[in-house]
Amino acid sequence: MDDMLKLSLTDAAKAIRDKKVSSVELTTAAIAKARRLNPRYNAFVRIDEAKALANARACDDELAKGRLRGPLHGLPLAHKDMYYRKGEVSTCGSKIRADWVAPVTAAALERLDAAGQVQIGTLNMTEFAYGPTGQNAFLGDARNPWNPDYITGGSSAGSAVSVASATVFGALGSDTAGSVRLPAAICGLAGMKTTLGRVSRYGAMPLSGTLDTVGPLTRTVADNALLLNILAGQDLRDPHTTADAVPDYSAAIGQPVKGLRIGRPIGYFDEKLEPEVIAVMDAVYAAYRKLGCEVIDVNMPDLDAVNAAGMLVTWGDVIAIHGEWMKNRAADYTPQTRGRIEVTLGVSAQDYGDALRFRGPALLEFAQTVFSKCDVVVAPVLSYPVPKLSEVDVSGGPNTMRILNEITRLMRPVNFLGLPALSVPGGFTSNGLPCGFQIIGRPFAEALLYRVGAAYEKESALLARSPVLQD
Amino acid sequence: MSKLTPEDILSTARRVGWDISAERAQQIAATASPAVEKFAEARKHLNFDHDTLTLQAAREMTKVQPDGKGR
Repeated sequence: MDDMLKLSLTDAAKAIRDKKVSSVELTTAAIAKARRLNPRYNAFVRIDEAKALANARACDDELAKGRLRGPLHGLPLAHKDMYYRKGEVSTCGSKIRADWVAPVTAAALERLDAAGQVQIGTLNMTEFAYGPTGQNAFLGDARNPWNPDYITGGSSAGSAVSVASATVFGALGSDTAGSVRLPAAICGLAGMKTTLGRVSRYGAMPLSGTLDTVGPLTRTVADNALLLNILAGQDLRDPHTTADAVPDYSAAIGQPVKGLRIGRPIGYFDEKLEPEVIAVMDAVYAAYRKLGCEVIDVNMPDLDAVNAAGMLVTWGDVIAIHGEWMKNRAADYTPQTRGRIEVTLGVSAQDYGDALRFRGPALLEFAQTVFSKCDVVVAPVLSYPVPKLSEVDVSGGPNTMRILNEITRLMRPVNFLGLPALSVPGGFTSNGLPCGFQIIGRPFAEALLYRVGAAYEKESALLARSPVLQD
Repeated sequence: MSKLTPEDILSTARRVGWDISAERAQQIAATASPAVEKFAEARKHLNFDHDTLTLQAAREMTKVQPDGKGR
């Protein structure tokens, strides 16, 4: 049954619909694999075996009577432990919420439930989603399926590990400064950072209400598009969401990309890149040329200022949300998180307000200078090969912010500008770890990003590679 | 804008009730200063009439068009 877990989400859903496999069989296999791998990879915070199997049995019974809940009917998924489910504990990766019972169910979970998912558990994450390495001193570090000595990326660490290890078919992450794209890139997955307003954040733990976005991680681009079809849409409980029609993202998969203009960034995204990352990116641009795209050099506006503004906005939101706990329960945070939250003391009310005021002018400038010349920007996710856990100092000391800032440098401007970006596997570096890239588009251009990402996925044939797991 | 100092950090910490040492305040000021100073340069883009919801209007003006090409 392990082989069935290696199917794509799209193929597994079809296998259930065609009654080639039952939901109970797949769910049982997923739970067994999660239990087997967790001591080594630490992806799961909780495995809800009884509830999941009861749900799977109900799915099988309904299918036997000809009823299909939706496109995910009976499929085992799992989600970052910050998507609330009413009446259940959502730790948000922290001792502070170790026993906290959610009063509502997240909009994203409601939509996945309605589409037929079987949620088998909740997934490891950086404490309060505030950190990009995937480490968590409270829950224990998640480990990279390609090599457990290396970081997973975060904060959606368990989401990436559970999907890359073919334990579940997809998982929700959240992206405030790269927390979907980084773990996707580092674990060899597709991960969508959605346009601000595309997917409801209702019932998802806030890190920065200004910048937070919800997005899926999957093994294939087509699977990702299928999940976004389900997740996207207006929700009046999240006033950021838009009433704009949701396109059929799956229809974008396989559409030709010939004639599209791929922007190769000059400035910011090409700075501080190590040679191995440059080599992967050169191969990516070459592949797009081969596919008939026009690869155009595009000068970037001042994204250092945009990145700085993103930090100030995050700090303003974080100091507000965590202010009381930092006053009364500071010792209950892990050192990394506490250290990062302390830095928020550096933001003034004027900085915060001005950074918010800067968002519109910054987006207009980016659109005018960049998207007037190209349809999408193709850029690296991380400027250097994936580091080992032992190489990343996240103890909260003075070096922490310097290291963490470089990991998120290529991510945060996209969040500040509210743009969508799809992380796609680009290749591998000499340490054997994946090296992903991101495709950045105009607001609500997710369909185009899937089209461009799927074209590279097919051309590169990287899906043939999967991690060799150590039980 | 004046430079961010350890005294600024300690003052804010006292106001919000966080326990921060003088040594840590120095580290925080050094860590936060680059972002604060870098953003100060971006203030030239702002005028009196920009409000904090400028992104929503810009998002509408720049969003992908129905032709499917993102142009």
